[in-house]
Amino acid sequence: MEALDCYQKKDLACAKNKIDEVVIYPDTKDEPAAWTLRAYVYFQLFKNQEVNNRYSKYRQESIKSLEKSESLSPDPDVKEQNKKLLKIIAETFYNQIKVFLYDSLNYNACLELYNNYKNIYKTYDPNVDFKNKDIEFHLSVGGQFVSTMKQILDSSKDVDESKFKKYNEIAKISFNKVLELDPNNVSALEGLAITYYNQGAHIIKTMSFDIPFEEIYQMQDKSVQYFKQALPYMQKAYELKPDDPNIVEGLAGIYWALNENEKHKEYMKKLEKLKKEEK
Amino acid sequence: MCVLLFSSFKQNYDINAKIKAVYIYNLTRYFEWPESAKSGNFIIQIVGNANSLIKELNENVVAKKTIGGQKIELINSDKIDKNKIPHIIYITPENSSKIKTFASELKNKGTLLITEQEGAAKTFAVINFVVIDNKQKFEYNKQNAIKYGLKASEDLKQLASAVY
Repeated sequence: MEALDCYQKKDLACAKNKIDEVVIYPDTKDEPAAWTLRAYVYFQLFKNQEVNNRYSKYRQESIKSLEKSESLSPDPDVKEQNKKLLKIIAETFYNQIKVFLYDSLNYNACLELYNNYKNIYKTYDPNVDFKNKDIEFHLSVGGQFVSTMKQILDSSKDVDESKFKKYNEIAKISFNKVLELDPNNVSALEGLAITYYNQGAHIIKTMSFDIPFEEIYQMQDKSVQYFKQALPYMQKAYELKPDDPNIVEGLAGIYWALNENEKHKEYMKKLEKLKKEEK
Repeated sequence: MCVLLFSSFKQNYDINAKIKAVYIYNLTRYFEWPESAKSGNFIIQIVGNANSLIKELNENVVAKKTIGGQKIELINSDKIDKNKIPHIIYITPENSSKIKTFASELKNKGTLLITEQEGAAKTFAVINFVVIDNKQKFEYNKQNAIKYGLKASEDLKQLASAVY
């Protein structure tokens, strides 16, 4: 009761001390409600002190306490409380992805957090279908890495080649995962096309003016390969969404890079028309 | 977490302009200009609207390079200034109807005439940009180089997609 009082008064230090004593005290250590309260107390500590920490010990303790409570055959009310908190905890893993994706581009951390989210959510709802969430996650990751590559391409600073290569690979993996789940996902198709296009454009943009013709030819061969890889993805995106100005502009850009000027003009015309219609 | 919408296929960078700029600069290694053209600025003239190419040349060639010790000057004009006979003139495809006029005006003046028009290497151009298998290449006419007063390296023949 004292632990609950402290918790309700938001005195979390007090609540933590009291509940930690309760769950080792012989008469109460097997009380599911005690473990559930401990889970709530530790979860509040996580929220207050470690909300951006992916390895938060408070959150881990909260999960362990819920597991313990569940193992002690709780009554339906406690069970319901456990379920509610489990869902909230799962969502904290998903929300942390934002921090590691947008602030630090840490792909491995994002994957780890997403897997944690899924594992915990499955405990909450064993029949859950993650398809839409998987699509949302991989699309967000791919989109963020493409966006970063675009910034790299647009900047006049020297490019860290290993980073550029790594970001491309992550973007491709992410968009391909989306296409495995939804082969007609326009954003993933567009994203893959842009990723390949960026790789080709990067080769040309970083080409030195002092290299001999033989090397220029080799670099052109490589970049054209990338542009050719980009084309079918953008074409399919166009088939699915012919009036999307970004896709039309994308097709025009790829045809320009492939020196197919008639097709470039055709799509630029269409783009102009679409822009007029938008106004 | 919201899905990031990458509205991002904006062509901030013109790939083909970069390749043309690299070609134009590289070609200077394969030609020798007459003695009379070896002093003063090395003039590259662009005929037509080619903003991306001009930007590339200005930023990477004019600002950073010299040719045979000569400072490089870039002119964007569709008229020849008799006091500034270009060492290189590039005529954009949209201005191809003017090739013949420029060719007669520049005969024996030590100008490398570059075009981008089907068949131009067979008539007036020394170098004609072409597209083969989605890639930019160039055709070369050695006799025209001589007509314009230039000496050309034999190596150029091997690099050209067609030689006339």
